[in-house]
Amino acid sequence: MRWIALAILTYVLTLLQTSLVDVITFRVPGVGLVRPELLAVVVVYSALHVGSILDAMLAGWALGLALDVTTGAGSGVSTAVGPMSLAYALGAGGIYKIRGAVFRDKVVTQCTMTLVFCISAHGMWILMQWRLAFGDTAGTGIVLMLVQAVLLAAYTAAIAPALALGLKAGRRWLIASPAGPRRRR
Amino acid sequence: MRLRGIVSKGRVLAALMAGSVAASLLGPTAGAPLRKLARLVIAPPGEMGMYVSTAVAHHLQAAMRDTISQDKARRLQAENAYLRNATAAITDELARARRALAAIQHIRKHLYGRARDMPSEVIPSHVVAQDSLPYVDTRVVSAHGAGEGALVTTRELWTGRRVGLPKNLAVVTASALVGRITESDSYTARLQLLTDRSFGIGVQVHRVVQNPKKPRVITVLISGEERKERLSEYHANISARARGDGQQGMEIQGVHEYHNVRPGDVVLTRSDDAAIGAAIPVGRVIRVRPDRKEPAVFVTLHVRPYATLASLREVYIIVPPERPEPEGDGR
Repeated sequence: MRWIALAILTYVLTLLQTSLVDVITFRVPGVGLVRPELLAVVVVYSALHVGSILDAMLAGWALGLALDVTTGAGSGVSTAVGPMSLAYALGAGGIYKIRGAVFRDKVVTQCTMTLVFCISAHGMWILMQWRLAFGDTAGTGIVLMLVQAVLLAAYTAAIAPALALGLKAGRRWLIASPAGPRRRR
Repeated sequence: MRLRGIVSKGRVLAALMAGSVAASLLGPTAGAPLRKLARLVIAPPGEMGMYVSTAVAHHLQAAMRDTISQDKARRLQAENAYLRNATAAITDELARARRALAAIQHIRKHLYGRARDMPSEVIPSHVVAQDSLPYVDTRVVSAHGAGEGALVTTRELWTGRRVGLPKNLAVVTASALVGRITESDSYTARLQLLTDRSFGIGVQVHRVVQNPKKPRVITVLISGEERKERLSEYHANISARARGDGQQGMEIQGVHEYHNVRPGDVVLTRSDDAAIGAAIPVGRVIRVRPDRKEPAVFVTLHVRPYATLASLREVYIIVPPERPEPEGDGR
């Protein structure tokens, strides 16, 4: 993994996530806001292609932290920093473990893995915030938030192949030693 | 080599994971410095992105507004006609109030010195980022000196003050509430929108006295005794607590059915609220449905905010009128 490239990519995607993604955000009646989650696509892509599970989990942790620090906090909307980095690191590790059983470059794989990753990571985040219960948000509308997470996962999975194409183009700048048959033993 | 052996990726990951667990258990305060830093890093370039996204949202809303059905157009025409009449009535009422106000201010000026034109100071600000996750409805605004708990209004409605609205009017009528500051530091602050699930505020529901020929009958309690009366401006307001519904509006639960609140009634902040000091419009009641637990006694009101939150860009932060002075020498 090339960490400086990952840091730049994380910054750019976080900027997009906190501003321009609003353009493709929908309000689903009875549920709330639903928007894609760009950073999850990077986590899934790197977990499918990096050379070691440690790289995958470290990348997941860093991207999760970026989400953690750019989401709500303060009186009334208190959420702890940490649960999303944990969830992302564990999710990336999980994807790495099962990637041997799938065709990594297939569109279906990208979509399915992103869907599973988002549901598990965001589900874990919501449940952790709920259990920690630091603010009103943590205990309010837990079921609705889980439904929101499923819709977010589906939305993200739908756009994942397009983003993965971009990541594939810049793969050699992002991933130092991609997984696959080794040239030298 | 030795350092490389000690600081292996596995150990770094273990340390980071342990740090995350510790930060999670310590709560929001542990991560507050990181969040402040993130806001500072994201705010300057994020402003451009928010400008684009709010502009797109604004144009989309305008485009959607243009395509309305004939039924809706007719309804709007009728509503416009009604509003024109109501405006004429209010203008008369306003003229009377202005005259009374001018008289009071004249007396006050002579008795107590210069009269204040507004009960609160306001800080102009604009939205520079939104929340990365959709579970909370917040925005990051560029603001210097905004305290936590300060309420935020849309800016365009406040510009009336610039063109010289009469004293005291701008605060009382010319604004719409959009939320509250929940976190604040040197250059940025986090604005919790009023549609957020954990947003709550004391409000007054102003029941509009619509048609004098078809009066609205309400029940009032006088010395513990219920009495049916025609609604008049004298008892048009009822106090309640509104909270965000996590979607597009707000909910007011536990309103007595006998208050006879109807769609179209207006929700305002309480003028005795120390954080504002004025009655600022919040939204309009769009639906009244029976309470789930006690449908015969209570109703739940659904409120649509006046402010267009999707394309929210420029706002004013209201500094509470009675702000406590900081301790120390103030330097």
